[in-house]
Amino acid sequence: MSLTMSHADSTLAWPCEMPPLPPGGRVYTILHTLDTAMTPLVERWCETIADSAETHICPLTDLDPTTLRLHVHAIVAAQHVGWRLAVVADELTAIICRAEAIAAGLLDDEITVHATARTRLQMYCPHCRTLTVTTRAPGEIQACRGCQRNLRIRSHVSQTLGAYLASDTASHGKERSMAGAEDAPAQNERSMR
Amino acid sequence: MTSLDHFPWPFAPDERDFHYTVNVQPAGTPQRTVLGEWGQSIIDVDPTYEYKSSLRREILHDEPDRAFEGAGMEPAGWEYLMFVLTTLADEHPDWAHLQRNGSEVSWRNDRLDISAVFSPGDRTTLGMSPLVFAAIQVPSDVLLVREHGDGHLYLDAGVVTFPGAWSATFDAGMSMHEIHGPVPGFSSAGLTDRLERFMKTVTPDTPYRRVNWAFSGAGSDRLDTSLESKPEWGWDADQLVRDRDWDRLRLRLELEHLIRLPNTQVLVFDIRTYFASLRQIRRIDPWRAQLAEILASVPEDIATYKGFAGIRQPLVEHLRARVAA
Repeated sequence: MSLTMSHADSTLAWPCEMPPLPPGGRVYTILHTLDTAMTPLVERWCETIADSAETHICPLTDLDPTTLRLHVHAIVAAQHVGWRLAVVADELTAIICRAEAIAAGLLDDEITVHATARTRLQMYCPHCRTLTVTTRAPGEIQACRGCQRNLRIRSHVSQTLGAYLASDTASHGKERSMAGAEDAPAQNERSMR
Repeated sequence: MTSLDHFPWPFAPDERDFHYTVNVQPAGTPQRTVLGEWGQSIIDVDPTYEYKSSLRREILHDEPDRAFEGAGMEPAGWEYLMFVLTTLADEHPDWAHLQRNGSEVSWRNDRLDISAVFSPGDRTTLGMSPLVFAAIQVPSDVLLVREHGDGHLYLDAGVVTFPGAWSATFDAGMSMHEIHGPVPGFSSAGLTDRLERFMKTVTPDTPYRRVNWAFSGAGSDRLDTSLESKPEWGWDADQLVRDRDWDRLRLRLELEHLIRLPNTQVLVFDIRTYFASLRQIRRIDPWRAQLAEILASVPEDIATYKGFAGIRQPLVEHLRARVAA
């Protein structure tokens, strides 16, 4: 399995080069979010597919992550041995397609994923476990749609969740007086919650 | 005040500069410090044992996803449980009692008031995850790491209630490379590859250990410094400098053990957390002087990662000043 990206400006550090398609397929499905000007990328892949193999090129419309996962799951579930998946899309779509295909049972070496650009990303809030889609970049601040906290997006990505980690930007200064804090029993840790 | 008898002081006596290395050594060898000794046992039971177990159970009750178990990991959970119970019974026969009757196991932990009779491998007889049953009886976080078909190591199960500013709910299931993404200089220097290669060489008869250090982001002895709970403990280092409230600062040590389970071949990564306040360290002259020199030599990006870049200079000055007799 390859994960690549068309530009180098990514915390994932995806390479610029298009990766080769997964080898040995009898049926290929290529999912993409490209406009017509970009389709040479898909054509380059198609040129490498053996004449005997079947090829399906499917554009993906602008789906929200949950719907996209269901869509990819349905595609994978309908396939048989010898099927290979390739995805060329914006980073969020690419990473979610990959995550869902793996979750649905596809093996790493049966998938090729190439990200063209990061137009939006999904962030994970560890405080309330909610995912939020945003056009903000790592390092920037975005409110969580679950708990409304302002979170800073970190350069740490889960390819299983298809999301970047984020965390609360607030700090609390003095939580309690330090006078005697060392002598205070630690037993109050949970009651501070 | 926290006792430092078992505190695994992370620096060798002649160490004066910071070196970022994986710095591992075989486990089980006692190590002397100026205050005591550490490292004799993989499961370090001390007077805080009951408190830690009770806190862990509370956290797991409120946030059950702090324990996670990927598909196919239950056999490793059972193997780890039997490792824990056997170790406790061998090292603490006065309060940990293990008996085997055929395929049945009887267990009694007097200190935690836990009793169970179960058949290893049959979850219904235990009534809960064997990994969680083990984890509530050890004072450390536990991660189970398994090699996948792609040759890489993955964090496939764990119970994490006392982490140092990371999110187990986010990192669950990740490869070593994914996990170490945010550590400065770690992946790019090929250290993840070296770490992974090293981990693969660990055999069941030779567990390893290392000590990792940082400053706690909580400004207290709070054990649960997870990202999940950060809104409760995140603190302001600048405020500390303004107030010169140095005694809030805690050196946070992680004594990490790496153990290969012989049957499932899964690796156990056990992380035990210790704290020493700056007030305590300043009173121990060799530690005070050594920590000052090492902090002064840490590269800026690592200082940021370890949580003291913003306070380094006044902190070093504070440590260099001898405590008046």
